[in-house]
Amino acid sequence: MSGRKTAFVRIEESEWRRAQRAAARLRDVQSDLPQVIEGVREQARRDAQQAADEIQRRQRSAERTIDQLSSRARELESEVNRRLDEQARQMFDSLDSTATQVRDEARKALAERERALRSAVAQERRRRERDVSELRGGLAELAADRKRAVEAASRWVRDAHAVRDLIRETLPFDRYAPGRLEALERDLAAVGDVLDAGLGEAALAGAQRAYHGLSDLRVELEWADREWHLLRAAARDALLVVQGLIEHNADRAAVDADGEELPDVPLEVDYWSNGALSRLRAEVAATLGLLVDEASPPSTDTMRELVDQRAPAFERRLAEIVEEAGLAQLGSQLRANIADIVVRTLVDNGFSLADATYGGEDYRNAFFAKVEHPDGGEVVVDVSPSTAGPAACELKVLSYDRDTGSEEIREARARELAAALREHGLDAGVPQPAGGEPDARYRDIESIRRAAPQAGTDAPQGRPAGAGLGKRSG
Amino acid sequence: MAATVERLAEAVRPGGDAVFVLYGIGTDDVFVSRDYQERGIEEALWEELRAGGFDRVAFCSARDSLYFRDADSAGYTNRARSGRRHPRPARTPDGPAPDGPAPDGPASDGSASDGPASAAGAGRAGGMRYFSGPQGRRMQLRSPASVSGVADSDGPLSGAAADYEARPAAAVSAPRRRTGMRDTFLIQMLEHYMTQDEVRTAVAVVRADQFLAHVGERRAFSEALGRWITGPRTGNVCLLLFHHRGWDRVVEEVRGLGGYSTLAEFLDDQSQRRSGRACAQVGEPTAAELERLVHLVRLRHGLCVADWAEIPRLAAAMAGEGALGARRWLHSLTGLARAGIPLSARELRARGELTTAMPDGRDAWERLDELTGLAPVKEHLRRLARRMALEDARRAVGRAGRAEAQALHLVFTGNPGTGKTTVARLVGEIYQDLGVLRRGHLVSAEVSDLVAGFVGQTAINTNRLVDEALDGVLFIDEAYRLTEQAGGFGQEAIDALLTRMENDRDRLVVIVAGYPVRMTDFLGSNPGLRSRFPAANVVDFPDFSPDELLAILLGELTRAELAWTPELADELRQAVTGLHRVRDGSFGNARTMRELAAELRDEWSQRVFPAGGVARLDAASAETVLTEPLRPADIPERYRVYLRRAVPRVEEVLAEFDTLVGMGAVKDVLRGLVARLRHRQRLGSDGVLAPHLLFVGPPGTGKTTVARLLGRMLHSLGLLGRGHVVEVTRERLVAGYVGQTASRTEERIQEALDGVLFIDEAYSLARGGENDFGQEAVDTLVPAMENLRGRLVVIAAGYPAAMDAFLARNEGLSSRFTERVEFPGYTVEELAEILRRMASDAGYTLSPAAGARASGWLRAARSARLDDFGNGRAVRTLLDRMEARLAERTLSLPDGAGRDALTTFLPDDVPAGPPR
Repeated sequence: MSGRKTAFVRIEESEWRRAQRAAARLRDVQSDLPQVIEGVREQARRDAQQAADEIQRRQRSAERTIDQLSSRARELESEVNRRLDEQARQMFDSLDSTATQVRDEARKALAERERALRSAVAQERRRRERDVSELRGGLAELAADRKRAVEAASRWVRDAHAVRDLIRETLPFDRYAPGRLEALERDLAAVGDVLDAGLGEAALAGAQRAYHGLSDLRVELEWADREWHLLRAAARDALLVVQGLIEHNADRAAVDADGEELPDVPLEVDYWSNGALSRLRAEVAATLGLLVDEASPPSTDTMRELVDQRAPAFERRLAEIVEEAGLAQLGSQLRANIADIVVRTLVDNGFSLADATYGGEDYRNAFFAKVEHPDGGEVVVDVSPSTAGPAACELKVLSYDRDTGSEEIREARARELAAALREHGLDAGVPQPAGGEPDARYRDIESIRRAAPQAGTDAPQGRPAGAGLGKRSG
Repeated sequence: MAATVERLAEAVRPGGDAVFVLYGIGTDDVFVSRDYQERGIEEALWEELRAGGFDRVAFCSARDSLYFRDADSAGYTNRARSGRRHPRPARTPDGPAPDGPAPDGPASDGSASDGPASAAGAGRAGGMRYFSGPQGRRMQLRSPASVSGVADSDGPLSGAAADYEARPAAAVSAPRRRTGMRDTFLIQMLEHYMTQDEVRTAVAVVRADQFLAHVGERRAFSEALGRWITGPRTGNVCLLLFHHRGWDRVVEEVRGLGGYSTLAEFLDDQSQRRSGRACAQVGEPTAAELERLVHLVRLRHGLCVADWAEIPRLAAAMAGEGALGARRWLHSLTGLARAGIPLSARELRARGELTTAMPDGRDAWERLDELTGLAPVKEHLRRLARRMALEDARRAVGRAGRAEAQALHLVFTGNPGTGKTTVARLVGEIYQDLGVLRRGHLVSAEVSDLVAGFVGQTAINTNRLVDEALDGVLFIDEAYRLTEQAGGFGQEAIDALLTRMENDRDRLVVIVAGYPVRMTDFLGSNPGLRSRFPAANVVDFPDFSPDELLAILLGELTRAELAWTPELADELRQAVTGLHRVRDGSFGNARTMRELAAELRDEWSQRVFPAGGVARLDAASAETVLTEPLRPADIPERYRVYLRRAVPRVEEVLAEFDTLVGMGAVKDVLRGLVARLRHRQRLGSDGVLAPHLLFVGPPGTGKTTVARLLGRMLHSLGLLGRGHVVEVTRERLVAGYVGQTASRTEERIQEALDGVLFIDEAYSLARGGENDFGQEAVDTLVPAMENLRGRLVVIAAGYPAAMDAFLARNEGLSSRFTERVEFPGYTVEELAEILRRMASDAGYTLSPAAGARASGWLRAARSARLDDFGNGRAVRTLLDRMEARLAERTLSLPDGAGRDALTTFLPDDVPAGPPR
């Protein structure tokens, strides 16, 4: 029995584009978003409450500190604290509500809140500038009375220490304004020296400056911390939503080549994506872990980038993975379909089906079918996934003819087979007779069933693997 | 009971060859099998082949590629190797796939695992799927071919096998299981069928001419055929079906296609084979099959039958039509059934669908016996039949021995109209009864049907006729003309005929017919002919006797439903007897009787039709006219010569001779003739034939004159049709070149037919000795004198001595002259009397003295020239001279002289002595 291999095939481009368009339908991974968000809502509320509690606690500490301040400073700080309270209430109310919003709206709300926060900060600063300049107006009178000036300076220094202590005790000054507190403390120490020297006027100016510096710092830190909490909540939400989407998309319904959903056919995304979904899931989980790592909390910028860039990127990857999984499944189906057409063509031409399997009995592998002619000849049909793309494939028709007829008739047979395949929409091109013997292993479907053959092992001797074996398209 | 059909069972007998050719009208016909079912050629062939031990019967055609008629055959083709494992479902992370890729036969798209959404998939590609992928058996590829629906119309092969299980394997119209195989794969499969020895296989290629012409890989197929033809035997057979009627057309077609050289040689070889030919003609339906066909149409379409007893005969007549397939009959009988018209021979004939005479229910022997005359023919056929029946019986008990089977071909010798064609037709039927021929029909041909004017065409014509005649009788009338054809075309026909007689000796009987003598020559011209037509098979058809002829004639009149009077019958007997008496080689026998019947009928029509009109007859006059019988008056003029008339008294007959001087001997002969004639009439037997006569005597003794008189008299006695005399001498009979003399003589004979051919100085025909052309004239004359007795009277005249010498050398000639009439020289007294009558006729008288002197002159003249004395002519000469002298003598007389002086011979007017 002489062997001869004819290897060819080309699935028409338009067929592939159609399949790809169909799989693109799978990209919509947010179809279950409200459900996902519902699952995330409780966590978001807890997060918001936690942040609110912390701020409340800090407010109470601040109030206690303010009570100890001199009357002038107390007046000033009380006003500031009242406004901060008010802002905090508004912020957490809205934070709670964002958790129920869908993604884009949530992101929009977050930006709105940030804008509001910043404008509040700016407003506060302007108000304090005004208050301070009013204080400066009285300073000139004080400076004239040296004794009163020393006394006043001592009060400002005390107040400044109180504020400094509040900051040190309640606010993450290093995280948001590294070095600033230390600089202000150095200024405050210098004021003490001046005061000790009895230079009341100079001490008063320095003490006031130190106080206001610390007071500003407190407000700034307060705002920054609130923004951080705001962003962390948003980032968590975003990642939780991604996580929810991953789980919701892990088992999709397959689509057919027209993009119609096949409710009865599951699309196991992790399987068809060769584990890409699992990898994505792990990555998202790790990122979430970073957010709650109190030892090294992420920066605001990091979180903003997470919300703005990474979470959407995760979603896009998810969509891609699902699409590719769908395409891979469609490709697998097409391999069976192509084999079907080839086998049917061969059966129509006198062969009978002997055996068929996916390599290693795994849908993701090449499909093999063997037909036999009553005269003892065999043909193995090998439809392999192509490296060109997840749904592209490569058809090889391996003939193991009996020694009857001439070489010409065998070539004519290959041409007629190609023509029959063209009738079925498979552009088989001109059959390329390949030299050498086709690998006899391909005739053993049973062993292929046990383990898929490695690609390229059937390359004819003396030729580069894959060369001349067929045309690919994806 | 096998549902086979005779004509197919007989043809499909593949022997040792892997390729077997069927051809003829039947390869494209329908068949009514013995189970009274209608089948197409493929179904009938299927039955035949399966019954013949072929387990697989495959068909192929240019249109349908390879296909099958039964599940078994399709199953053999599609059968998977036993013990093949069924693949398990593919592995998926979540357990079994919706439907494993189990190639345990294709499933339709709407498989159970598919939900409603699969409808889209099903609509896309249609048909079955072998494999299941992750999405089950859905087809996700668009399939242009499935849209056009060509390949899918019948579904897949193995799916079809299930369909068959539900119905009996021998369903009469099993659907075709088309495979849509492409040609190269088809050839691969056929190659496998033909070379394997596990399943005995028959491959039938229908419309092989088209298949051979259109197969995609002609060379490959040609090579495959070559391998089968020359390769080792496997018991498989490839049947090629050609619709061509004749074998030559098949060979021609294959040669014309080109590229099938081995096949063409194989076909050529078949023509040469003596036995075991790998080809057979499937011809027209037999009577038995047509009888079933009648019943089929009766049962299925409600055909009414006018007369049930008529059916077998009707079927036989239908079978005799020839060249008509069962399909044609099915169509026309179904038409009758639809129209509610009962089936009858009359109806079919009215529709022009039945042209041959229908046997009337008696078997061929009975009808043979009813034929008038032909006793030797009947006896010969009976002997033949007895021999054949006995041989048959011997064969049945295995005692046939190795003797050559008896030759069945026959030679019918006889004149036209002796019933040769009629008997040939019956021979066909008798042979059919004896089981020698399947159909026993007659194909009647003339030489011009066989021979063509250009090279090669003759064999084609001959073979075509033989093909038509297969299973029946080929009757070639006037076959001897084949050896008389110019350009060798006749020989070509003979060669072709001999080949076919050998090759188709079980299916062909040839009967050659013609004039006895010429047929002997014909058979002698070719040893092949002689061996095919043994002397024992030469059947001589004698001319009908007058009684037989009369019976035939009256039979014709009876068939024409004409009545006649006894007088007419009597006169017809006379006429027929006369015709028979004077018949020659061209006598038409029964044909002449039919002509006479037709002429009688015409004369009768003219007589009985009311005078002076050609208008239609009203009922009343028609009644009178049509009851008028034939009467003697209706006998056409040209037959009246044969009617008996009152024999004139001898005296009356001889009265004319009274004017002649002498003639005693002639009168005696005539007297004898008349006496015999009267005697015969008195006995009521045949008349006498006018004899050929010798007139022996010197010149001038009145022979010519007597011959003329004799002609008239023979006519008046009814012994000659016309009685005219054609006088000839050597010059009018003999020509200057070889071959011309015979035809010149023949012309004279024809001229003298029904009268007298008078050959003066007949001895001069032998003038030139042995090599003289005169002998040719004699040789032509002798048979004519024999064959045309009654229509030609030859009178040979001449000097007694010369005639005697001449006749002595031509014995055949002398024996034909039954009457010798001596014409002695006149006595001087008779001569003188002649002179007196001649002178008197001319208005002269002789004075007694002048008479005496003239007698003296005549005596002197005769004694001076005894041998060539002119007798009557000498008297004429003398009278002329006497008249001249009288004129000279009387010239000087005045015009007023008496008439007597001018018209009376005187002694002086007689010359002194006879001329030198």
